[in-house]
Amino acid sequence: METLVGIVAAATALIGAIAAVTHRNAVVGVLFLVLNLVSLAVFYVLLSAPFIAALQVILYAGAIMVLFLFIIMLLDLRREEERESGLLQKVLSVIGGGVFFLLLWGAATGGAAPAAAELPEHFGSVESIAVALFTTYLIPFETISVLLLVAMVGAVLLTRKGGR
Amino acid sequence: MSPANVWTGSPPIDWAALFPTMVLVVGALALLLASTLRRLPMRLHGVAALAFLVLAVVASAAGWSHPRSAFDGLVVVDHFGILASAAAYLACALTVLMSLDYLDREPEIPPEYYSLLLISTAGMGLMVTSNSLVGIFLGLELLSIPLYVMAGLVRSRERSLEASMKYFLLGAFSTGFLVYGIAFLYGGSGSFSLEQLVLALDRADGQQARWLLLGLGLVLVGLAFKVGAAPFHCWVPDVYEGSPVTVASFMATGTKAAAFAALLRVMFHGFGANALAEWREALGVLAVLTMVLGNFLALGQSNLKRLIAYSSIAHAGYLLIGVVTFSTAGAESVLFYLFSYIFMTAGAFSVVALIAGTGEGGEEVGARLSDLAGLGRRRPLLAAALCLFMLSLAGIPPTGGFVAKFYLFRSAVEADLMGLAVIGLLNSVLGAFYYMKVVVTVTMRDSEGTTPVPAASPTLAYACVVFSIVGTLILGLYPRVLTRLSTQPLF
Amino acid sequence: MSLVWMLTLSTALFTVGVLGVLLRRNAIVILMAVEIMLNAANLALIAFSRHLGSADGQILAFFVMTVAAAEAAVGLAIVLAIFRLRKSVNVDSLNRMKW
Repeated sequence: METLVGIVAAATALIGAIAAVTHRNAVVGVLFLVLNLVSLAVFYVLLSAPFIAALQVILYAGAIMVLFLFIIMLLDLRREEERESGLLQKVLSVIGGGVFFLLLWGAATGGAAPAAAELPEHFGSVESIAVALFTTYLIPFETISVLLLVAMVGAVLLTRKGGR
Repeated sequence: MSPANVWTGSPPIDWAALFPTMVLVVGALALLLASTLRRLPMRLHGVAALAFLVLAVVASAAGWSHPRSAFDGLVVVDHFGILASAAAYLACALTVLMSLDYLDREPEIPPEYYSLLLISTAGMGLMVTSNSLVGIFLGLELLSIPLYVMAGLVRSRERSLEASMKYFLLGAFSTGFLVYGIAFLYGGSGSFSLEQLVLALDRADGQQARWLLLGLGLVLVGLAFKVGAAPFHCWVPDVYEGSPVTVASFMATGTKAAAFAALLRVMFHGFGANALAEWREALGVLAVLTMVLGNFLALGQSNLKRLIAYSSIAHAGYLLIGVVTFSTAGAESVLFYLFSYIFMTAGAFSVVALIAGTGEGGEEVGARLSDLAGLGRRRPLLAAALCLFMLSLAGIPPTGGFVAKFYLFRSAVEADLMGLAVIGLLNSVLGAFYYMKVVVTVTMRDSEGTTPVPAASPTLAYACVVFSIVGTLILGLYPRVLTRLSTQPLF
Repeated sequence: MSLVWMLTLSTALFTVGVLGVLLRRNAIVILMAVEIMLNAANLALIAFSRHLGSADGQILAFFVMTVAAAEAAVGLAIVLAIFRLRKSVNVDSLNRMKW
C-alpha cells in the first residue's frame, strides 16, 4: 500500500514539476507546481515528517503559490510571449539535462547506503520540532524572523507608489 | 533563567557572543522606525548607522581574548570570525560614508536604505562567525535579500531594476545549489556542524564519502556564484553597472569578504587536512579561469563601474589561490587581501560616487571613461586618489594591494603551488594594463566631454575617499598592523 | 520507501529545476523553477533525516521553506516593479545589459 502511494506520488510530483516549467500559460504552470508540492507533502508523511508535510500544504502550496497566482493575474501575464526555441536547442537541452541528472544521480545513489537508523519516539512530531526550534535552533529561528521582516520591508519599498 | 533552560536544561544563553549581531539588528529596527518620521534628514540616518557599526565592532572585538563556541557552534567567537566580521563592518562603514553625500543626489532612494544595509551586514557577521551550515546558509540569505532590494531602489531607472532582477534570479539559483549541497553534507555526516563534518570525513567510506564529495561540490558552486568566480561570474558586471554606485561597492566589498570567509571556514574547518583532493584541484582550475577571464574581459571596458566589476572577478581569482593553499598562511593572506581589497575597491567606487549622478532622461552619467578624461586638470586631488586606488588594484608598491598580492603568492609558493603563483603573477601584469588605461585617461587626456561636477561637495563626501587612501597606504607601508593580529591561532 | 528512491526523485526534480532556470525566459517561471530546486533539496533533507533518525534535517527543511517564502515575496515585488516600468517580465527583454 505504502509503495503504491509512493509510486503514484512520485509520478505526480515529477509530472507537476516538468509541466510547471514547460507550460506556456503561467497560471496552469502554477497549478502544476501546486500538484508537485502536494505530492511531496505525501512523501513527507511517509517519511515521518507530519509537521513539515502540514506546513508544505498550508504555507507552500497555500500561501506562497497564491502569491504567485495573485501576481500573474494582477499583471495579466498568462500569455507572456516566449522566444520560440528551435528543435536543435530542445534536443541539446534534453541531452544536457540527462547528463546532469545521470551525474547527480550516480553520485547520490551509486553505492550501498548505510542501514536506516531506529526512529526515536515522537520523531517529527510538532512537539519535538518545537523543542528543537526553541532550544538548539533558537538563533536561526530568530534570524528567520528578521529575514521575513526585511523581505516584507523590501517588498514594500520596491512596490509602493511615490518617492521617499 | 530563560524558558529554554527550564525545558531541557540547556546551557545558559551566551549573550555576549550575540551582541555584534544584536546591535546591528536593533540599530536597523530603530532606523526603520525613525524613517517613518519623515522630517529627519537622511544624513542623520547615516550617522546613526555609523554609530551602530562602531558599537558592533567594539562588541565583536570584546571577544578577542575569550575564543569560544556558543549555541552548539552556531555562533563561534574566534579570531578568524572577529577579523572577517570586522572586514564586513568596514565594508559597510565605507559604504555608509560614501552614501552620506550620494543619497542627496539620488532622491529616489528612501531612508530605509540604511536599515537594509545594517541588516545585510548583520547577515555577513552571522555568516562568518558560524561553525554550522545552518548559520552559514541563513547568514547568506540575510545578507542577500536586502541586497536584492537595494540594487533596485532607483525604481525609475530601468537598469537599476534589471540589476535587481538579475541579482535576485541568480542569487536564488545559487541558493538552490547551496541548500542541495548542505542536504548531501548532512546525509554524509549526520549533522550540520563543520566539526562533525571533519569527523565524518575520517570514517566515511563508500556512499557516505560520495555524498560528502557531491555536497561539497554543490556548496562550492553556490558560494562561487556569490564571490563571482568564473564560470559563475556572468551576472557581476551587469549588476554592478546597474545598481546604485554605493550598493555596487557594498556588493563588491562586503559580500565578497563574507563569502570568502565562509568558504575558507568550510574548507579549512569543515574539511581540514582531509580536504577532498578532487575539489581542491577543481578550485585551482576555477582560480586560474577566474583570473584570466576577469582580466581579459576588463581590457575592453569603457565604463569604470564595469571595469571595476571585471577587476573584482579577477581579484576573486587571486583570492581563490589563497583558499587552494589549505594552509594557515594562505588563510591569513586571504584575510589581509580582503582588507586591502575593501579599501581600494570602496575607494575607487567612492570616487565614482562623487562624480556620477543622474543625467538627462534619468540615466546615470559620469562613470564612463570618456567622462573621466581630463579629470586630473579639473579635479586634481580626486584624480590623484583614483590613480592611487588603480595602482593599488594593479598591485604596485607602496600600496596595500602590492603587499596583499605578495603575501598571497608567497603562501602559494610555500604550499608548493608554484604554477598557480606564476599564473597569478602573470595575470597581475595583464591587469596592470587596464588599470593604467584609467590612470592615463585621467591624467593625460584633455577634457572635451561634459563631466558633471557634483554640486557643492561638502567635506563629508570626501570622508570615504580619504579613509580609503589612509587604509590603502597604511596596509602598504605598515602591514604589521594587521599581520600581527593573526599570530595567534586563527580558528 | 527506500532512501535510494527518494534521492532518485530528488535529483530528478533538481534537474528539472536547473533546466527550468536555464532555459525559460519568463521571470516568474524561473522563480517557480527555483522553488522546485528548493523542494528537491527539502525532499533530500527529509529523506536523510528519516534515514539517520535525527530531526535536524526537518528543521532545516522548515528554514528553507521560510527562506523560499521571503525570496518569493522579494522576487515578485521586483517583478511587479519591472512590469510597471516596462509592461513585460521577460528576462530576454532585459537585454539593455547583456544577459
